[in-house]
Amino acid sequence: MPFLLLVLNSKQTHLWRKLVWIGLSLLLWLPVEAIAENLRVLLVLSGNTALYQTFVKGFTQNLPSTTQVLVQEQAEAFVDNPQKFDLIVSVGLKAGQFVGLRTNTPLLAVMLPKASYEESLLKQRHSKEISAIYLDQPWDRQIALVQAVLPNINRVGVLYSAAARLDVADLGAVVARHKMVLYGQMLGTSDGMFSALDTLLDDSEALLAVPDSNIYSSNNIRNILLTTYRRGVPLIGLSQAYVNAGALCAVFSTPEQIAVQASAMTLVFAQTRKLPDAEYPSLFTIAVNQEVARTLSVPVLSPDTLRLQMDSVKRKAR
Amino acid sequence: MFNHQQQRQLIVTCASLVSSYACATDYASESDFLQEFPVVLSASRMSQPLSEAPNAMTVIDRDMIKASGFRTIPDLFRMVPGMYVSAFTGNRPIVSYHGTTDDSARRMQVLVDGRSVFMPPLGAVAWEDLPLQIDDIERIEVIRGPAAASYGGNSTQGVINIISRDAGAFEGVRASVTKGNGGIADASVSMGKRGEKLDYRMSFGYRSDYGYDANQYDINNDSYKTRLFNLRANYRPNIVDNFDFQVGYNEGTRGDGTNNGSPNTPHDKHNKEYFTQMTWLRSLDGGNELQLKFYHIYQDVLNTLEPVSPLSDNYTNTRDDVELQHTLHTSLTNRLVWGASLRRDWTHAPNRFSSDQTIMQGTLFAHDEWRITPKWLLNTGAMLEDGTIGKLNLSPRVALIYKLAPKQTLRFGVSQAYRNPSVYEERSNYQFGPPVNYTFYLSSGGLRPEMIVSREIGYLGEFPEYGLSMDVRLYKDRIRDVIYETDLAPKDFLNLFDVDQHGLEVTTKHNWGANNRLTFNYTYQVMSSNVKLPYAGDYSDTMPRHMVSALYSKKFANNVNMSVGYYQQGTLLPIDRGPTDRQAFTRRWDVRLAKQFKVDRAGHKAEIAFVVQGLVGADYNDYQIQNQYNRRAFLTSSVEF
Repeated sequence: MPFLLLVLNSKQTHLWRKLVWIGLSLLLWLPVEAIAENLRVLLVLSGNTALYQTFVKGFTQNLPSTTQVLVQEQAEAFVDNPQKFDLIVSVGLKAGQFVGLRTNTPLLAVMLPKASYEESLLKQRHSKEISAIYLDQPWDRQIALVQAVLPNINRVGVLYSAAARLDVADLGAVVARHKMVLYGQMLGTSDGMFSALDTLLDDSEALLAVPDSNIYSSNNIRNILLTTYRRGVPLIGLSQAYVNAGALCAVFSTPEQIAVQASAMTLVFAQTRKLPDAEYPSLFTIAVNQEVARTLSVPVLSPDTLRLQMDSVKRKAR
Repeated sequence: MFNHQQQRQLIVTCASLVSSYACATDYASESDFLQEFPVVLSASRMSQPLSEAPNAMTVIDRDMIKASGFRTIPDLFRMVPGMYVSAFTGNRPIVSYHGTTDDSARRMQVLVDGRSVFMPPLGAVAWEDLPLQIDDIERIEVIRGPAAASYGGNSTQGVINIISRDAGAFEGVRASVTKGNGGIADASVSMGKRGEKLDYRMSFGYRSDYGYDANQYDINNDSYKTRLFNLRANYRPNIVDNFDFQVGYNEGTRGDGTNNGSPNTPHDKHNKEYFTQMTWLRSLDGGNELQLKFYHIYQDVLNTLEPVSPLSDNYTNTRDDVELQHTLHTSLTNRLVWGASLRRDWTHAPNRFSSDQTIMQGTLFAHDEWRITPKWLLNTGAMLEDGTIGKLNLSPRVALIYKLAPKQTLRFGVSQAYRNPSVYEERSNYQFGPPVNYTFYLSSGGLRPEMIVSREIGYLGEFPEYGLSMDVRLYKDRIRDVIYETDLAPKDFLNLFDVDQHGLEVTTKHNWGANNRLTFNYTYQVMSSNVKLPYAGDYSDTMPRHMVSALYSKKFANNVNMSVGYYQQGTLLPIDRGPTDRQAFTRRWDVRLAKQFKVDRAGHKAEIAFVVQGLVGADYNDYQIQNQYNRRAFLTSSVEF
């Protein structure tokens, strides 16, 4: 039941929490051996910053209080103890990598990019009892946002380096499905980033940010944003911080939203002792920088309106 | 050298370093999504969209600057409706909006990155002395109409807001050389570097020509040689603070004097100007910010006739200005900018004032932008100004903007602004001792500030389906108590007359595909006054009734760019000139042809550009009869690496 709920898109997290609670209440009617109160969960964090703590809070809040949840803040201190826990939830890439290769206990890896999960965890781990909630948004969702915000553009640019492990063909296909063209520019090791960006912006009407620390670092962001602004090409960001900094918009999932999904997956595990397949975040937030939108003469729409438009855009693209 | 064991240790250390590095960077992690960023495109960094600005605004961007082929900054204002661009001599350009123009345009504020370069003692802009190269400009925003509420005093008729290129605008080295007729010889080298916390760029430039006297050195001597340097650095110690630092230096000779029997015989003036400017920008929560700006300007003009006669008209000016500005979003629909500034101007000009002049001026300003509904936007603002000269003035402005459709807006604006008399108007004592024994100006003082009341209706429409945008402004201005000089020497400055001005300004922009761009400006202006000036004809004649300017640029295949500029000006007689100086109806066509090359595989570029100014159209005179404009042609080669 909670799994089905996840497929739905709801507007607000608190509504979601209610639904999860309804799901939980329903679970109480299920056979005794599947009830979550017997479940012993270890949360392994990649650090103890507010970000991870927010996840812990959200995760535990959405589980019945009878579930045993233990938190280990230092991933490096993890020692495998197969008898002690039924499920390990790793938060962040570092925790996932540390735990994934050191235990055969079922592992749910959350808050990590899809490509990193597949390359550094899925391929390397012996035990197949593993699943994930990625931090990335599905391309379809991101491109739907681009189209909802900028309905008149045809050319989307993406600048990336090899480290981003970007599946350009896949992205290109999604962009094409939305009747636009993708201009991908791969940054070689010796290339100047800004000259590559300048060349790309000649062809692009919007620039799609990707998780790539060679390009989108806090050191580079200023000149990237100033360059795109000078060229009148909006940047589509990856987080609220991008939007605050000057990206036109972003679709992203907050730690709270991932936590809701993770707790729901945990409940499925409690019931079935099997982890569902890895998933993209089902809950997401849309942010728009209204001042940037106005400067670029982009008609300003509220996040709620955009969400509705994205749904219709996605339907059309299918 | 290392022994065996040390070597092994070293290798092990390196290996462990590499592996931990690889582990950290090999895969994208959550920090690539969730990292913190500084606020880059904050309210003060972005230009207000034209459709939301409280005034009519013309933006000249880098593409237009390049396509125009102009070598000097004042020429760029030919692309602004209502703007009169001329020159007192070949090295003293005049840029003035809506008339009341003499050799110094006193009713328009000119800012470079927020630094007012409208300077004492004359109350004018020394355009040729600005330590800024045309290629260092990112864009120019020209506000047409009073904007004292946002830009302070002197903004009675308009504001020229020059925004120079950001410290991190480019990386690498660019060099260019220009050579042409009329003594045109320019050179420029600039370099830029971007870093993690520090960006900087700097440029060295040289610019020279013979002024108007390419063929007639006997009549006026107005050639110039300008050497300049400009540096801008941006330092970001953390995520919320941003320090911007600029210095500039300009120095050179300016031909002065004539051979027409005046004691001011041909000689060279030596002008020097430098500035330093520091801006601290702190990002606050909720998109708010605090900005503290300080600048210092130093100008020195060495104007001495020696050894023929020991005449000198030297002067030195300094300006120190500090301004604090706070931008805050008081709600989702309301944004307020408020602040205060304090300025000290000092002038040492023994021939022009009986003593050194120190003028203090303080302002307090606020500007509010309220989105009443998605269709209505209300801009209100006011500036309170007080200082050593003039009186306490309040300059308010209200503009109501209505969105007819998503891309079409109507703007209704009313503003009132004051201009306090300049120190020269109030206190001049411009005299030369023996052997000249002559007093040119002697101010009686006690002037009232000039006041302008401006009303306007603006329309802005974008029609993306036709690649067309349109900006129309209908205005009616009344200036009271215009401060002007009397007729007979020694001249005095008095609140002499009132002026009525109304007119229409239209700008259209048209794009065909990605490769054709046309900007077209039309100006219609009618001026009238209650007095007839003794030395000029009818006041209504002091500005051209019709003006047209257009810039068309086209990109061809093979990196060839072509652009054509057209500048048309109706007949006029500048307000302080006699009948012989009448400027006839003029048409001027400029053409620029450029080809870009790739120098190497790394993408380094070179460009050769050929510009002809006045390719078609008869020669004409600017401002005074001896300023005969004739065709100029020059070739610019540039490289980037």
